[in-house]
Amino acid sequence: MNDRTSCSGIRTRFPDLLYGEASPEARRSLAHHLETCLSCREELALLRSTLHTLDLWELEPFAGDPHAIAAAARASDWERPRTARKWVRLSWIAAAAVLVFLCVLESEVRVDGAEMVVRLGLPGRSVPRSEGASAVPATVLDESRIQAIAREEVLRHSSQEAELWVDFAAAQDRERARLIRALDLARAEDRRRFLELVDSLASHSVQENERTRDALIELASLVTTPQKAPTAR
Amino acid sequence: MHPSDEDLVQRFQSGDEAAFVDIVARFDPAVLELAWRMTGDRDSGEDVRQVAWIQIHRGLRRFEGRARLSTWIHRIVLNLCHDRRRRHASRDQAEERFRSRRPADLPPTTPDEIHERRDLAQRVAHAVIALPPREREVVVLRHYHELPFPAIAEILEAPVTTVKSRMAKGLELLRARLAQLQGDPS
Repeated sequence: MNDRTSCSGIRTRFPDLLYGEASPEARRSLAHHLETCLSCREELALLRSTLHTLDLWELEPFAGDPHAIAAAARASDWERPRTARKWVRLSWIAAAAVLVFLCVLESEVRVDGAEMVVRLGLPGRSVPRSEGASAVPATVLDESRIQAIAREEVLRHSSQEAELWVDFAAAQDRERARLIRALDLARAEDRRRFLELVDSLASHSVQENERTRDALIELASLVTTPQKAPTAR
Repeated sequence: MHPSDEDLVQRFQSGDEAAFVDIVARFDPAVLELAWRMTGDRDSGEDVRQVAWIQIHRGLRRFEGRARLSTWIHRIVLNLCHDRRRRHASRDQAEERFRSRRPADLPPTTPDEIHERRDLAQRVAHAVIALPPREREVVVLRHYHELPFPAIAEILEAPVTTVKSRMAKGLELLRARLAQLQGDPS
């Protein structure tokens, strides 16, 4: 018969026992339980056997030349110009987001049968908005279309930006999701939340570089300048 | 007398690139072994190792010593392993790669024994690789790297109780998966 401690509680402490990390008091408590619990004794024996079995996984002998490894790490680190590092890429992504936003400001979004149509225009070339567009769920926004349009916009500025946008296409899901969310917010004309997202995208990428931060502030000001501001909130 | 980790970091941050070679010499075996066991094959492990040392070289300039150097390095390797798993390969693909590779290099005995030991090693590795990532990292760090639970908790930035709970779950899964192996030596 078990003591007051449940078997499941006892078994969570088996790793301590198996690896010699149990305190003397815990060992006494476990020993006391094991004396009276056949099931836990068997379980412990099986786990001990499992540990021995784990030892069968041996790795092939390996060695590395520390000088060669260090040299390779140095070369890979140094050969990349500072401007090509991730935080700069992210800052360009944020800049691309602003550019796309500027286009989206004049966008038309409508559902045509089973297909969603997104028409983007540059500021100053007003395109009527279809009513109820903001009610279209973000998930149906055609991401590849947005990226294609964004790429066109970015290409107007420099090939480097285009390259960075392509990098973005392969970026981690989180950054992608955030930009898509930013675009969606822009479509819904929620400027404040959009700018927060752009700031957030940019903040962790510009902490180390004032010049980039200044550039982003300037870009953000393009959006906040009330030239043809959408509906104020 | 060997310089301490802190001394090596300080030397590197003062511009002594030779200190980085010493850091590599000190930690590279652990880096590769951890990457190898977490990814399941040597090629992937070496890929992770290469990127890890680039990140370590870059990050070391700003390393402030809030965590121990070894803890920080383990974290970098584990994060890379998790990133790799998420980005490039499903578990099934990793397992497939593992299956196609030669198992552990074992001391030569009779051909039958060699075959049997290789088969056992491969099956054990397969069971470890098939663990959920959070349990796998704890099992690898505790069993193969012989790190105590508090050190693992520091690396994973998780409570010690969580680490022990993951270990218990991992061992339970391994016991079930290896039971057939233990009971059936063929």
